[in-house]
Amino acid sequence: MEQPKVMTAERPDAPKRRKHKAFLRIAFDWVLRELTRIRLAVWLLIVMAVTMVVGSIFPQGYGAETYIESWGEARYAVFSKLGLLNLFHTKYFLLLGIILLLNLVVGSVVRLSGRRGVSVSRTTAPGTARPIGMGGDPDSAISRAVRALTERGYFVSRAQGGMLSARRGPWPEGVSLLYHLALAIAMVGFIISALHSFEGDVTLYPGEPVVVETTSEETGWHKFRYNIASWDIVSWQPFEAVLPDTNVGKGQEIILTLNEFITEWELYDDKYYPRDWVSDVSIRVIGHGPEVLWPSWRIEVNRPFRAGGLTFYQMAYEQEFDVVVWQNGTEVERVRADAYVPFTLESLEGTFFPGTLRVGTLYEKYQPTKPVVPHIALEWQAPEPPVEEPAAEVAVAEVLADETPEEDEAGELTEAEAESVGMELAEADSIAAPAPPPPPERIELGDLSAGEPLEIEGYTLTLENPYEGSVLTYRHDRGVTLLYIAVTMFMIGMAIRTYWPSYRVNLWIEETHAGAVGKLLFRATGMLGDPKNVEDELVAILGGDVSAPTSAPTTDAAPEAMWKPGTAPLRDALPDAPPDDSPPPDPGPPDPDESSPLL
Amino acid sequence: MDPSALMSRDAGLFAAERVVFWMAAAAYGVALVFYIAHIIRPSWKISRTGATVSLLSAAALQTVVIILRVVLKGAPPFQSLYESLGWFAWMTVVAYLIIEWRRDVRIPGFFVSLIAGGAVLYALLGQNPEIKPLFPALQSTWFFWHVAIAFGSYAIFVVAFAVEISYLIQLGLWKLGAKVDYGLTRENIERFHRSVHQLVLFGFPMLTFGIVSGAAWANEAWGVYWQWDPKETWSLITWFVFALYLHTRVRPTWRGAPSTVIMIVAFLCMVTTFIGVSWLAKLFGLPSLHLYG
Repeated sequence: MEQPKVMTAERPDAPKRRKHKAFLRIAFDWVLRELTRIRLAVWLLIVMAVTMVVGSIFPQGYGAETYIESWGEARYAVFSKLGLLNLFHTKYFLLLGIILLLNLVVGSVVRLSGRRGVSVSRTTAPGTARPIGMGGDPDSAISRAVRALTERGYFVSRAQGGMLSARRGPWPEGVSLLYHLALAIAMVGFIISALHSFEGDVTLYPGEPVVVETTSEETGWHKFRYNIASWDIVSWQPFEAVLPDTNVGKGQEIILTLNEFITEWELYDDKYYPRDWVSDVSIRVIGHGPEVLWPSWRIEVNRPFRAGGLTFYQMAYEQEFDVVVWQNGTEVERVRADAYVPFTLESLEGTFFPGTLRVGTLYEKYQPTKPVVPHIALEWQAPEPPVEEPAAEVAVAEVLADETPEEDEAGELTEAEAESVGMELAEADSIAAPAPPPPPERIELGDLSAGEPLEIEGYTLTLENPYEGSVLTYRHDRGVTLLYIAVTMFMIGMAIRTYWPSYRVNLWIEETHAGAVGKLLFRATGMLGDPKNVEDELVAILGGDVSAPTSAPTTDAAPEAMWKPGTAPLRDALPDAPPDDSPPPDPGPPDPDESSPLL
Repeated sequence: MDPSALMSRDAGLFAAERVVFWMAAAAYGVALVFYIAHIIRPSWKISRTGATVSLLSAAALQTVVIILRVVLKGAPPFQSLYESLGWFAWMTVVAYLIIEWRRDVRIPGFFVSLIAGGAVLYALLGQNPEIKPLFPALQSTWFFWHVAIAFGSYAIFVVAFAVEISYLIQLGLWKLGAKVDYGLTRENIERFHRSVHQLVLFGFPMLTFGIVSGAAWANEAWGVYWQWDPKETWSLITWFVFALYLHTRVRPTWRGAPSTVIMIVAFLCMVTTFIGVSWLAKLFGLPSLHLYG
């Protein structure tokens, strides 16, 4: 029977493989160590904050036309190339977010496991520790201290080697984990929102049903998959198989029918202010299960409606109306117009600019409600004057006509002024941009009302058939649920960390000729605590002060212990204080709570 | 009462509100003088008592202003910048007075009354006091909680900033050898620096709630919880920088000058979020969903 081969280091590839593994191990350890560092979190926060400052200066996510109109094509091209116009959706920003997410998760988990947990490891008490006369031998002193602390609700984590560690209150590492994981969950929620959310809008008119699908291909995930699938390597698309199937029609259908669109206005100081927009709709959800019907549901601002994974919001309105032109009691013209859309009339020259159509219910302080008389503010602009032949064209034509400068008799472009025709053309171009004449000013005509006719140049204008449609937006976003969970966790964690009292005790016990002496380092967090009294009570229970405390007050010293500038207590306290030019007292070992307020 | 009588009563209340608001501004001025006197001569009892009493009076007068405003408009008084500035000043002063009462410190009072008085004067001289009905999007229960809590955090941060500046000035005086006059010791001064951390720790969850409640409200009103609007972005920047400040407490080497610098930057970010963004948006024509003033 053949003996199995024994794998030994003599194999030619073995050293290389070990080296490779060792390198991977070192690299992995380095990455893991760096991901746990608070320094990394600090730098990420700085870089992200600076990025956000830049992103707040450049308006984000508008169409190219808007930018070009504001900045011109050249600047738009540069800013766009640098990714400044959609900064928060660039790969770089996403990468920063992912590194921060890893930093939060890895850092929290590693700290929880205790690998980087801050613990008091020094064997001697710091100078700031408070001496306590405990008496007896060190072992019995420790036993008594353990018993006393346990009776008062402390959890003793260490009681050996002449040292005792205990704590009372919420578990700091656990609380830290809670709110750091909350942040990580929130970031996962953001990513889900970015990849899977979609939105759209529908315009509803009374009695006209509109169908909305609960699925869409307009999601970040579909676009990502489509991009992957479209990779083409010499006519070979390796990821074609993962081309997204259409999912339209695989979800549910929501059929919305507008029963009534209600608009409310408030008259205040002779001005109309919008008060509310309400869409009374009937909603039918079909597909995947029994049909569901809401015959009448009011969707209004701040009161959305949710069905089939979509949320519908009252966003805007569409308004139409007839403008009727009368002359000598006879209708001469009728035009259907939209609010905010300029229109022209055959009977009258110029352009008319309507505002918001006001219909619905009117509220006025200390007055009963009443219906609004339909009306719309109207402005008029005279026709623009005919455009004159641009001066530049004349100048260019002159230059082209003059083959030699000597033949120029007009005196506009002489040899002395220009050495070549090219230069003359350049000069002509510089003339080519005269400031366009300002458009004629708009004139307020007043309100075009259903009740009172508007008189203009012998014509009478009236408003008829006002008609409103409701614009609803809808959005599908599964990430929001995670965000609500994350926020709840974060707020609970922060509240516990900030307000709930937590005490940490470190006690070093030394043997002296007068018996055991304890050195107490007491730390407290949580603003609702009473650290001074708790510490004093603890000292009294453990044996009382050996002498007047020489330790500096802790970070969370009680208000009474704080310096009161300009008051007698300050000056009275000075003799006990260290010399003015002395360095600050030894801060002692790193305190888990103070040293990591959030972590 | 008939409607016309009610309207004239409203007009009277509006005029009274303006008068009381000016009186509050004057009280801030008096408080400022007393706090300066206290800094010059800390042992002078009149300056100590006068500073506290005048600041309390200013807070009481502003309470009256806020009540009148609520009665007049029937809604929380922070729709326009005029109202927000008044609310901000009131919350700042109330937060500071609590700290002053608990810790018996007065030097930061100078900066607090300067900032609160400046905000009130800016409202009175530079803003339109007109009362407008609430826009539909603002008619939400989130409106009160979002603004009230966020402004609560602003108030705490103003006090923290005032304490930090007091710390810096006292540190400078101590280094210049003014310890004989003021009885300063390094350890005593450092307590100011540590108190700032406590204050920021107190205000940070409030700022978080302010941002989160704003996002939840935006989700209800506009259908999207975050749009990278300049105001939203700057509130997140402020949150990041205050988080950064809290992380500077991690290592002893970061607890001194770096944390002071970051605290001041964080405060400037907060001011930018509150007022600067609206200025920038109006100045550069940047679109913002938060321009209500």
